[in-house]
Amino acid sequence: MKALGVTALDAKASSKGVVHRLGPWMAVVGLGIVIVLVMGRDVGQAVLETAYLLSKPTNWQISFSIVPHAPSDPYWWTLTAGVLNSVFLAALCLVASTAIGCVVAVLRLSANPLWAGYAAVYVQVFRNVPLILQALFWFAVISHLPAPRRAVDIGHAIYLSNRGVFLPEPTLLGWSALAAALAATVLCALHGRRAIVAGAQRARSILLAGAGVLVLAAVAWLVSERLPSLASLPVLRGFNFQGGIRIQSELLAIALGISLFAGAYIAEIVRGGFLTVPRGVVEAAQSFGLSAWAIFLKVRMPLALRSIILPMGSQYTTILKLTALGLAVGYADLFSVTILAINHSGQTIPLILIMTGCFAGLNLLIVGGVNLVNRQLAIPGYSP
Amino acid sequence: MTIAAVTMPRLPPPQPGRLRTLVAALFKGWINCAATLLGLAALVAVGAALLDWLLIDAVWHATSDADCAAKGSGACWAVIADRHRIILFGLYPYEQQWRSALACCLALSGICLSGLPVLWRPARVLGLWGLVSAAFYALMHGGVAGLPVVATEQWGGFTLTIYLYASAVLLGFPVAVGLALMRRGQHKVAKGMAAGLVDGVRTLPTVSILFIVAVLAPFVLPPSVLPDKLSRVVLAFAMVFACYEAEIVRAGLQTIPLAQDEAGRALGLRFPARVWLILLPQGLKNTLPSSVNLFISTFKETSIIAVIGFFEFTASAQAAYGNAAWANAYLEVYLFVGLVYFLCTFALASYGAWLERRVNVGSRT
Repeated sequence: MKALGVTALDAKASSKGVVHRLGPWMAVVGLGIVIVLVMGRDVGQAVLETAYLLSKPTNWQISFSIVPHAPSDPYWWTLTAGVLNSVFLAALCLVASTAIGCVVAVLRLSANPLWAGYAAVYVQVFRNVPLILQALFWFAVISHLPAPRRAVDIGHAIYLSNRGVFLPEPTLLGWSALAAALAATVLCALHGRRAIVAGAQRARSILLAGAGVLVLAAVAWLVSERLPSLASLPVLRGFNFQGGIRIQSELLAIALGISLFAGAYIAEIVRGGFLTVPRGVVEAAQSFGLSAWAIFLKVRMPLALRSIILPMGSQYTTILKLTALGLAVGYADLFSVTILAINHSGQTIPLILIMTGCFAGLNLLIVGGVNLVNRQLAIPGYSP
Repeated sequence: MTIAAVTMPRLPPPQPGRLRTLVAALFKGWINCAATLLGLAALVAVGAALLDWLLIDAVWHATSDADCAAKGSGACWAVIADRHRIILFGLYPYEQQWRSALACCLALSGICLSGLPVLWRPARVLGLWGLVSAAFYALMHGGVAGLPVVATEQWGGFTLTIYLYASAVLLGFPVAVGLALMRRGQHKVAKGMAAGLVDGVRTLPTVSILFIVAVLAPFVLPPSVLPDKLSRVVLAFAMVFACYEAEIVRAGLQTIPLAQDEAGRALGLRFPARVWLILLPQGLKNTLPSSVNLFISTFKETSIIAVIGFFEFTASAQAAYGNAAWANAYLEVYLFVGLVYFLCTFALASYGAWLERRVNVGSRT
């Protein structure tokens, strides 16, 4: 009886719902058909024109590119260079701001009130001032550095000047030495982690010894006479430096600005994550006799990471979007390159659509990557 | 013989004094001790140098940066005294800048008044902002009561920043609620349109959206259908704010149990009444911290219109030191402007914290 009533009601609802449900879709499809009929030829022509534009040489220069670029390159390659510049800047800022954020969060959570206070001041200052103002500030500071002839000299290897910062460029041998040092550090850290988790008494001494060896190696590397063969140093020739790696002022200003700005936000995310770890869980681990390091590595960090990873993902997409402010200091990111292309070609809509597509794709990549990591970090017994 | 049951008073466990706790926190363990000493040394060194530069050696009266350098080795605050008109009012005509100052105070008092709970009634908010915007426009634009007309291209400085912020938030908030309700509604096309708009806007950097609307729109659309550049920027900014706020409102609405809406329905309340009386008050309360964050970051984001050729607060600062007399006084100008931004966002954050305490009075555990 009851079942019959329900069925009758459903039937009534669905017969009324067909028009209600399909009506709007039919309207949308109808509108689409009208648009295609009226503008089909124009749209087709626009696609052809865009394809022609993308294959045409630009005849203009961009101020910075991490891939080889010349004015004779076609538009599609120039836009690709813009995308790569944006990705490069975003990757740089992502690593730097994450490192800054973690250090500041650890300081803010530390028992020492002095350093916790410094970290709080950092977060307040850099979070409450607009990024564009910070980027312009760093750009002004770098532009007012002395000229290359009187550049600030750090150990005859790093020079700060108004033409940018000059760093030693590692040679093949230098790169291999760097890679070996990195591998040694990772091995040492892994071994130390395993030792700590296993509760070995000597864990700390192993870690200290490893760190000591690394520091000694670094010192030996710095003072050795072999320095020139490991890296080519920037040398002043005439009015500018030759050799070494030059970091241009625009890149440095925007990278500093974004990293310090986003670092303050990430510090708060990481701190919030560690604050969500229930005290009882930590106390339970303590009552098992685990050392402070083991509790940090096996209890607090995995639980905190669970609530850090998703807000961190949205912060990373924000960093990607912040790279567009490179325009303010003259860095050739995707947005600036698109504006240049529009100014030179007059093709507004297709180029805007291409830029939108690139940003959407990169955003999706970041979100997808974060979701992948999030699934990897899932802990049984906790809601996903 | 009687046995008296002696009950001891339950005293709290002995607490170490505040000073003792502080000293223990600062100097317990040799690593901690070293860190404290290092921190104190840095504080003394940096603090002394900063104090010297900021106040003791600072120059307050000078005619140019070279004059400053001759008079003292500290900060050259004379640049603020000399160029404050440009920083605060941008390109607004010099003789008329009292109007800009008055309008700015008016808008600021409007913002402060909107924070008072007495005024949280639709009629009162509308009345207040109707009056404030009419008076603001009359003062800034002129053309009434014998005031000469000042075109919107000449508006600038802190007044422009406040104008952009207040209009973006006021116009954007109702749109945000509308978008959130559309996205939660039954109507699939409306749902899809709201989702497409919100996600599309959130994918792109704000600066690119403003650039498209302010600079590129005239190349695509006939100028007769477009409002002036500043109004376009205001509308675009309001739209961006609305799209970000819509997601916050939607998240807030999701925290309300479905049964509440059904209870309202059972009482015979219509949809607008349920939204106004049941959904919004609770939904907005539940996501108040996120909303406060967005209000603060929107205030900071007003600075990006500097990139598209407006002389708002940040661009005015650049203009203030961008002449031959003051070219080397950039640090002082940026510090001053940064301080003003900091104070504004700090005030917003403090107000947000107060608001959170106030709305949580009933549910505090």
